[in-house]
Amino acid sequence: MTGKKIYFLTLSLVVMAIVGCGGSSNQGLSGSIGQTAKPTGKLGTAIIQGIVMLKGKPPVEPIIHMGADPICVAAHSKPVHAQTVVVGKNGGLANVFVYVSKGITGTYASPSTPVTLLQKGCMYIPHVLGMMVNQPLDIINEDATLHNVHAMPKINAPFNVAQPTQGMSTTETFSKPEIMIPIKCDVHSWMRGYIGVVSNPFYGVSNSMGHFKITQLPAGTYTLTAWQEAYGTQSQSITITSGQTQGVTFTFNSSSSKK
Amino acid sequence: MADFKEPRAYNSKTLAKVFLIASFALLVAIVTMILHDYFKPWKQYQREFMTLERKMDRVKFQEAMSKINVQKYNQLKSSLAAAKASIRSERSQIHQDQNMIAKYQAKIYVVHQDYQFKKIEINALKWRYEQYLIKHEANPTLEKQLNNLIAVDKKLGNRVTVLKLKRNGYGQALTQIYAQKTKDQSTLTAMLRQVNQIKHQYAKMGFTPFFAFRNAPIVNFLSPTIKIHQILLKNLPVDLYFAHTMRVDRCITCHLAIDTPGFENAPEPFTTHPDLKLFLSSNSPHPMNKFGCTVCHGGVGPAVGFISAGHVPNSKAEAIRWKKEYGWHYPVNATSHMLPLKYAEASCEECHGVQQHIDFAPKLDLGRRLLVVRGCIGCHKIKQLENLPKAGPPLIRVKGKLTRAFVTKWIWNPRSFDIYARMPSFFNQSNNSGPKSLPKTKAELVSIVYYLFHNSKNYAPPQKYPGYGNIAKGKKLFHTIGCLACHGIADAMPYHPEFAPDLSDEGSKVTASWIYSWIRDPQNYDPTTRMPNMRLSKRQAANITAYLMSLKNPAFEKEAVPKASTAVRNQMIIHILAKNAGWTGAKQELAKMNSGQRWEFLGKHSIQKYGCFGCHEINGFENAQGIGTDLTTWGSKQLEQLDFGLVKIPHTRVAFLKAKLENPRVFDYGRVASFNNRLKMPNFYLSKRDRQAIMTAVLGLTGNYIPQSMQAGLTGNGPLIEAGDRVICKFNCRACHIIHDQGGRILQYYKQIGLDPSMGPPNLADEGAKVQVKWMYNFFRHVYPIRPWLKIRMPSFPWTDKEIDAVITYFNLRDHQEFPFMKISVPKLTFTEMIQAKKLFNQLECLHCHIVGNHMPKDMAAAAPNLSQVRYRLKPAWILKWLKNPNAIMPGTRMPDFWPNNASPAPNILNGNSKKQREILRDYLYTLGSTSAN
Repeated sequence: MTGKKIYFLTLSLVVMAIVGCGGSSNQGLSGSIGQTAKPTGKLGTAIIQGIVMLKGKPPVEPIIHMGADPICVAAHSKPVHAQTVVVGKNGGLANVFVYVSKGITGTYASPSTPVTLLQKGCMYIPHVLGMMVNQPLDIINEDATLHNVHAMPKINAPFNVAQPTQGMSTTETFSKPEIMIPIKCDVHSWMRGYIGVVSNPFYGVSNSMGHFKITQLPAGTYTLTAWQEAYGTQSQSITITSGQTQGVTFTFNSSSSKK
Repeated sequence: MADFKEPRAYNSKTLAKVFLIASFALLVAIVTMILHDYFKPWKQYQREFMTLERKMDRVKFQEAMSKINVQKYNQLKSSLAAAKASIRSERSQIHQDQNMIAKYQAKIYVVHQDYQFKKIEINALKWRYEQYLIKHEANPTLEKQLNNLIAVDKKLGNRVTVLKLKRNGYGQALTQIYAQKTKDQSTLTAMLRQVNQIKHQYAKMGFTPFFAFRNAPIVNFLSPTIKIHQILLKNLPVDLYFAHTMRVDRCITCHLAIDTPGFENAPEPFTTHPDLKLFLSSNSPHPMNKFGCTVCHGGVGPAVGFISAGHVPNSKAEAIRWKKEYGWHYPVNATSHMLPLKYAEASCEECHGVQQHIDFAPKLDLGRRLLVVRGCIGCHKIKQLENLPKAGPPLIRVKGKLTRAFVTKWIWNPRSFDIYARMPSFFNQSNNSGPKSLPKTKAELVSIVYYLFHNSKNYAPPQKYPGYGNIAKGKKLFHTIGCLACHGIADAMPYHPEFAPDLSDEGSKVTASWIYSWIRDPQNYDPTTRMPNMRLSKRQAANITAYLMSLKNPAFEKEAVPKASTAVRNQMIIHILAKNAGWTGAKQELAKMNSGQRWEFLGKHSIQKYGCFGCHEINGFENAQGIGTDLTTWGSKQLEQLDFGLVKIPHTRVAFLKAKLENPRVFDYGRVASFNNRLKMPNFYLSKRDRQAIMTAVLGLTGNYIPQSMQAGLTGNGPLIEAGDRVICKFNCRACHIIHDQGGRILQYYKQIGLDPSMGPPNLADEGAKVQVKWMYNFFRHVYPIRPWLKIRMPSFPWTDKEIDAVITYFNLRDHQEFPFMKISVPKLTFTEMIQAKKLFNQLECLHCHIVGNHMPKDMAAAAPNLSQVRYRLKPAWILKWLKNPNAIMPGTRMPDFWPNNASPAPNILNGNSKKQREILRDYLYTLGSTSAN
């Protein structure tokens, strides 16, 4: 009897040990070096050549009163208007930031050539600027007056740098993509600019006639997004093959102000 | 078996069967016990967790591997291989070098020994020679001998050095040969550090045979890896039936990754705590080994079962899920129940109850504020919230402010006048709106109003409204000057502060002259009011008066004033008097009173019954005590002491409180009670948010014993800081100012109307380090505009010296200033420094924005504070900090960074030394505005 008891006990012990270990096998660690790293993004030959139009009557932009700073006044012979909505003779909408918001695979190295933001005549030139992450941004004060460059990003680190003397230059970078980063000058309350930061080279800003161009795009299907300061964003899907030049039109409605 | 036939009292065959069955049953019982123990849920969780952890490690490993740069890794590998190969090729050279080193080592040994021996000989000779010297005798032979020996020794020393140099030469050659390999290897180790760490960790755990043995049944008492984990907390004892015992929390037996980041999305119970910054992690203010779990969550610490630990679900849906998944039922037998997560902040009160303002527990903080603002503490004593201002306005001079009709309609139904009324409803409730009760409530209402007006002191607004107020201008002023910090108003919605009464219908309430006098000098009507003086000009006050008077509530004005029947009134008086005088006596007493006395008698009785004096100062009730239950320890009140009546809800404190706050009269449901014995708590019509906040605050009032050392605000500077914060909370300073990252609630309104927050009230970050004590005192006494371009205005508060002192102490201590906070010393500039400082001051264009004396900046839209105040307003150390990086002190400030990355904007001054430039600029600022400068 006792022998049997021990036998039973041992048996149950073994069974339980098996139960304890069973179910989850002793899997080893696996993985190879650099396996899942994103491939380097490719450049292609396709081109997007587009135009941004404004439908409806453009709003009248108020004249900026620079009287508070004589140096600003002296820089202009004609009155300066605000640049919230700038429309060309052809109805083209300027200062629209257009970028590929979806469909890009791979990573693109940031160029080391800087983009430049000028403070000239107490205005930002350009009013809307596009750049890549970690690309140097040279901010230059061409006026003989104090400016401060106050960037107010939500994702990137903010900065607020003073440029008291003419010709002063500061270099900054943004490490994360962000649409859009407002820039202001606290000294001259009318000064406003916007910077779009993206992680690939496929972006453009519409010129005074509303034209923009995105080059070297590989073939594929993308979502193209246009941002305008007063009218918000618009997106459209686009499919493009190698070597092709595709036309794209964005139309904003002057009655659809985002505020 | 042989068949013995002996005379026995038992049959051995039967007995053998009985034994057989019994031993088999025993065996089954033992096996069942062992199995039951082996498969206890918490042990299963630990096994499950191991699998999960290993899975996580595999993912982490893959991630770490994938992060390694392939190119660099391969380069390194080949470089390493090349280095090894080159070492191999130079084997003979290495051999030679090694031999040479060995050879020199031997030589050095020999020479060094000689060198040391010679030293001993020198010492011996020296001693002999010195013996002669003491006796003033000469011994030239000995002297010569000694000098010779020293010379020899020196030579030997030189030789050792030379030999060592030679040996080192070979050593260096060897190191050079190995250099590349060593370098590559250390780079490789660094590159693979993370990967190897994971590997090492992974190898330690796993379902190995050894693991199986350690945790096998029966043997597992020795040294199991699957075991109960616990935290012992001597400093946070548990109150266990009249005794304080050490708190033991075993929650981490199942919640295995509660303090480990990375398990945020793991299934329960393995999820990471959602706020490791504040809790559990070793560098948080509440590390796990010091605070454990149950002091915040409640529940039974030592229990390891799901139900026995006292888990309570957060919602009905969760209760249903738990029932299905864990066979959960309400833990009736648990000595302590966990707080449903939505009320978890309640526990913060146990240790932080002394503090005025509990930043990290917003729900609890709101609840505690509501307990004060909604007047709960008027009736219910709460020890932690004593000696605070009453929630309602004083009614001592009510005659001079309101009409009888208004007050009657208002008490009858406050919400018909203003849906944001903080005054609760006593009448028209579920237990007093029946046809029998209604006439009685009306009699009470009318009598209360009679009492208030009959006993009111006379008051006439001292300043008459001049009549020329402009509504539009008044509205604009009201919306910009700062009234919205405390008062809500319909045309500023959805922004709606609740600190002071809503003013949306003010025109239907008071007279123009009353408002005009009130806003010009609030303390004239009510010397105890916290309403500050906004220093309004007559015209401004008239404009605001016109605006407020234009806000009418016509529906309320049209409402009929409730009337009471004198017969019902008399009946009620007899009922009251009969208690002491009997029916006939009561009737006789009533007959003695005239009509006015009768109203006053019932009014006084009703005011006493409803406890109106809890929130209002009323003549004749100066020393009356609140009529509600003491709530100081309500959170640990025994369930048997709560009267659930006939209402069918779960018998828990949470359910009771919820039902009570949703309808305070609910527990009278179905009950027979005479009119005066029914529940009296008024209905506050709380929003869900407010109700949950108040519930959180009340549930936290447990009165549990917490040692002083574990309570916040009691040690070090705590009491002084709390005293200051008490004033700050009392006067609602955080409505406008951000004080240590909290507050600035009015900025929500700025955001709502799209106004730049830099045009809002200043952030008081670092204020104690920033301004001088003397200046702060004078400023509170005589407020003046520091930033004249701001529309919003700092009011003049009716503060006592004691209150000002408390606030000054608060700021200085919070910002780590040393008592007595007065150290101010600024170096005097030399003549040349002065010239350079001026040059810098001009070159940086400080005057572009800053006002100096009477000199105004070119553009007032960009104006910044007057620099001639620096001398008597700012502390020198703060200015340096500010100039270095303004944004770090005040995020979003308009003051730019003039020395970004410590690079000077003026390289021509002081050689562009940024630190020195800031210093002389600071020193220069202290000369501005004084008579000695210029």
